[in-house]
Amino acid sequence: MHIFHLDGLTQLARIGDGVVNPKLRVDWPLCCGRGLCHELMPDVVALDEWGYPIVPDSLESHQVADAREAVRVCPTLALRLVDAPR
Amino acid sequence: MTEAGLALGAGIVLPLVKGACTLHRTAQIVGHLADESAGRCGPCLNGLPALAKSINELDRGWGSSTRAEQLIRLVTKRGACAHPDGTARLVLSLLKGWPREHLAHGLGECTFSTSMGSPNWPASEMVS
Repeated sequence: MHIFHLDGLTQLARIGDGVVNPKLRVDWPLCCGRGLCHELMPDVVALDEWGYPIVPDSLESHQVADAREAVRVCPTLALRLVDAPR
Repeated sequence: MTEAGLALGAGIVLPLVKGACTLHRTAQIVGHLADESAGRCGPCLNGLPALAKSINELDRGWGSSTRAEQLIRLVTKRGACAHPDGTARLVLSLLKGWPREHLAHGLGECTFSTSMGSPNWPASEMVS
């Protein structure tokens, strides 16, 4: 599984570069339910009744750019773009 | 095991005494498991107490299994560990194995109780 994360120092790769079949994954202990991912992609990420994200099993190609942005801005770095097994 | 729809579990076998109600015992166990949540992941921290409440309400004869089924979906695979998944599987097997028991409780009856009253409920607390 490839996990790419952008930080301030090594902006060599874009988030999710090299991921063939991208999907969003939540790091549950880190997620505090801020809901920024839902605000950025209301059609892709839903929120449950407590405000935690419900992410789809896979992403359409046109959703990947927004997903990348959501990963970048997540305030607790709880969101990752990973390779989903086909 | 995965092919058969099974998964590794806690490996605990709890024999029920004669006359003990499966629904009532499951409600107690789910309540315990909700208390045991480490509280690190939001869906487990919030979802297991809600699931325990929904099963407790089924045991007491109100509420619908739809709420429990909804909560099962909201906690499964939404945590760092398998504690919520295992708890959800327990409730799922209750709803699969005894799909009508909560309806009986809704009528103030219990499949498992005897005419002397269920060991779960003191006779004075039984509804008619």
